[in-house]
Amino acid sequence: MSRDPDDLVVRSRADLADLAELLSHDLAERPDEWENPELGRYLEAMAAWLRDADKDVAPSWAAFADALLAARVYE
Amino acid sequence: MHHPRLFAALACAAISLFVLPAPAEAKRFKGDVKNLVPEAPLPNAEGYLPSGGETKLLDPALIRFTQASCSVRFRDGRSVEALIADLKAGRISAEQLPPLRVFVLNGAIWSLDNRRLHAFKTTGLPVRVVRATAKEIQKESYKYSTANGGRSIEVRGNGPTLPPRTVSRGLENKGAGKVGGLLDRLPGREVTRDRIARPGGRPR
Repeated sequence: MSRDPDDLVVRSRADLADLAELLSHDLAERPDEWENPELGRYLEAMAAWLRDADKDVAPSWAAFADALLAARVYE
Repeated sequence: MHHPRLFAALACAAISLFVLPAPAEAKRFKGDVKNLVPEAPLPNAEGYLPSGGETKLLDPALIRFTQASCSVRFRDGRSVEALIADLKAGRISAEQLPPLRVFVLNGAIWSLDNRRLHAFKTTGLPVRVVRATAKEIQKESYKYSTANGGRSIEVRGNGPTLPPRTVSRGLENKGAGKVGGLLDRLPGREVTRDRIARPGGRPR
């Protein structure tokens, strides 16, 4: 079983790459825990979250990570 | 007596305490909890919830949305509108659906399951609820995007790419250079409300 993506602190490009890899493994191992396990729904959820969530957050690797993680659960 | 190994161990401990990030940083809680503030707290909100692991029926009017918007479709592709129709017709009852996962914060009851809450609020029928676990509340904290205290929710339309929004976002995206603002000004991005999707069955 791979590491929980929620446990990873993202501060750099390399961290973000690790997160993307963890998310890929997480999807393969636990697809039922993903609200949006298909690419189309995942991207639609990401777009909605980016519009709905706090708009004062400055662009950063961490903000990028938040978008990847949010799209996993956003309805 | 000075001992080099003891000194090194103490130095490492001091570095881990004051230099390395605190363990709490490893756990994400990125939702805007500041959004989960009701305009009028519910007296004894905790008293409405069942004990841990148990479920009970609750008036959906007492429960608030966590998200600002939600998809018109459930995870399995079935539509919220179909569930509303089935609930109204009595083809599906609250007991046949997964309970809403709810929690109390700032004197209000909040749901992690926004689409089903929308369906029950629309019908006015009592909804079955269960206390959300601490892990669920943390993992799904990205959902805390409501901008109106959870009173209402936008239902996003359906489509393979950039669907139309149900409410204009022009005022929120007025900043120059913001991608969201540009997208919202494109043709076909104007307002529709609660688009009706094809009928379906029981949502997951």
